[in-house]
Amino acid sequence: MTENIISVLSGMLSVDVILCMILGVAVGIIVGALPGLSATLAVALMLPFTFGMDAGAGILLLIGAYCGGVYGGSITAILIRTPGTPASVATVADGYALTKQGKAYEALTVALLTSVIGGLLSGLALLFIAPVIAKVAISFGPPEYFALAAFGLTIIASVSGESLAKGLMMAGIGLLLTTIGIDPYEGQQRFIFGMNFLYSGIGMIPAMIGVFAIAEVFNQIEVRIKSVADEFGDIQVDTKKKFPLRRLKKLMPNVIRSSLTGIIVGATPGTGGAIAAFIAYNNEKTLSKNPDEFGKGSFAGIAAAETANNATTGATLIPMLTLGIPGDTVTAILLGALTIHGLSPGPKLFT
Amino acid sequence: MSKKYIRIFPSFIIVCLDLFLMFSIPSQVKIYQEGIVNTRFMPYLLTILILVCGLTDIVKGLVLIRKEPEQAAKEETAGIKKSGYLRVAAAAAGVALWLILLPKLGFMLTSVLLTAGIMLLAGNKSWIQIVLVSLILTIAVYCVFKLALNLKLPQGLFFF
Repeated sequence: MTENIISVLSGMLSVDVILCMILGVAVGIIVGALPGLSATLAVALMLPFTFGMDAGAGILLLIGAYCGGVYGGSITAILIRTPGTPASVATVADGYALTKQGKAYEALTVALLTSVIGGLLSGLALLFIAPVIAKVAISFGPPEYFALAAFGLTIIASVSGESLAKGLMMAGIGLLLTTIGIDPYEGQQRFIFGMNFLYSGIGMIPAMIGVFAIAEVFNQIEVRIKSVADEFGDIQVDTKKKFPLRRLKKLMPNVIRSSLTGIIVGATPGTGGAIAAFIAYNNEKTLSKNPDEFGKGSFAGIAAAETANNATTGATLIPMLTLGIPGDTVTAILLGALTIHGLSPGPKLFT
Repeated sequence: MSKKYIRIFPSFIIVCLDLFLMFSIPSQVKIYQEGIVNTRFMPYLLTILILVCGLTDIVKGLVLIRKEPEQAAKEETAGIKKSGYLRVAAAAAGVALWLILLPKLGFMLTSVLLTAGIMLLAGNKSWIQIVLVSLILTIAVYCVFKLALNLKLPQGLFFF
């Protein structure tokens, strides 16, 4: 295994490959930071450009776009209270509260550092623990998947705010939207209403754009703001106010716990960065000595959410590479990309 | 509608839509075999959940209105303007019209008009900005999808 790692690392040190990774991360951050445009879109947009590339460089470019896209969502979540991606929704409350307190640069630094740590640990998990997690994941049956989905839905209780009824109602509407199309078990149509395009159901990207981007456009039309500056004032990012690294040490237990949460959630198909971020955020809020600070500008809140959502990036590749099961929409695109480049994800990839 | 009932208005709309979906299940969700757990199980379960939660929220809202009517009206209507709702309704109608006209008039023409309309509704008064942004944005999106991603966009009247 060590020989393989050294061989791959030496192959990655060529200028072309490094440039591809930088380009991928840059595009991912830009697309991820744009509200309504997700990491999925960043990867989807970059996919056609990799067709003519070497398989290794192409895949690294796409993975760079994926990781950059997940991180990029936190920038607008912190600065303008609008998450660039669903995975950054949990960052909004604390991030924007810190921006209002004039601590935007510190909040962005915490998000960046914890995202990097979460992403790296997730990459290591992919490298070393993949076979073990894959063994656990392969033993999952319908009861385990149902329990996991039910567990994910219980998170609604902690994010519903004042009205649990409204939170459950919205969860019900979200689930009802997923029933549109052809029933996967009996092959019968559901809620088509004579419109052929609904046979394939409502895609993840249109649904996310509808929920986040269109809602934001309508909100801006209602209040009639002219620009971000009119709505949020002159956003000051004072780069002199640095986040001291010794304070990061205090956050390390939080970062490690949130990384583990992100890795476990990410390795489980059907989940994603948003669920991981909310679970980690909820965990840290429960464990914190000052839970009241959460939502009002807590660095621990940002660290938990950002570490967890970035820790899913490598972990979502575990079931995809070992079992051929895409954990989310991005890995579904990556699965297609690997196939295009002549690799067949699944147990045989490791043999 | 009295301002104090605005709090329950969204839940009321959702409950109405939910009831429509619930009653449309027999016609819109086909089943392969009779039984409790079939294709209709999840739609029924979810519509019942939405109905129960919606009614709970409405009842909670009504109780609040009965207890403190003035406070409820004040809280719920803070920052809400009728003109704002009308602009949102106009934007939603514009998007619906865009969907209808897209196959007939083509992507370019309809998208330029939609973008310009949305910018106007959002409060932009600079005609130069409106014309330039709507043209550049539409052309950029057209180029990305048509030329870079090789996707077919509706051509409509003017072949683009």
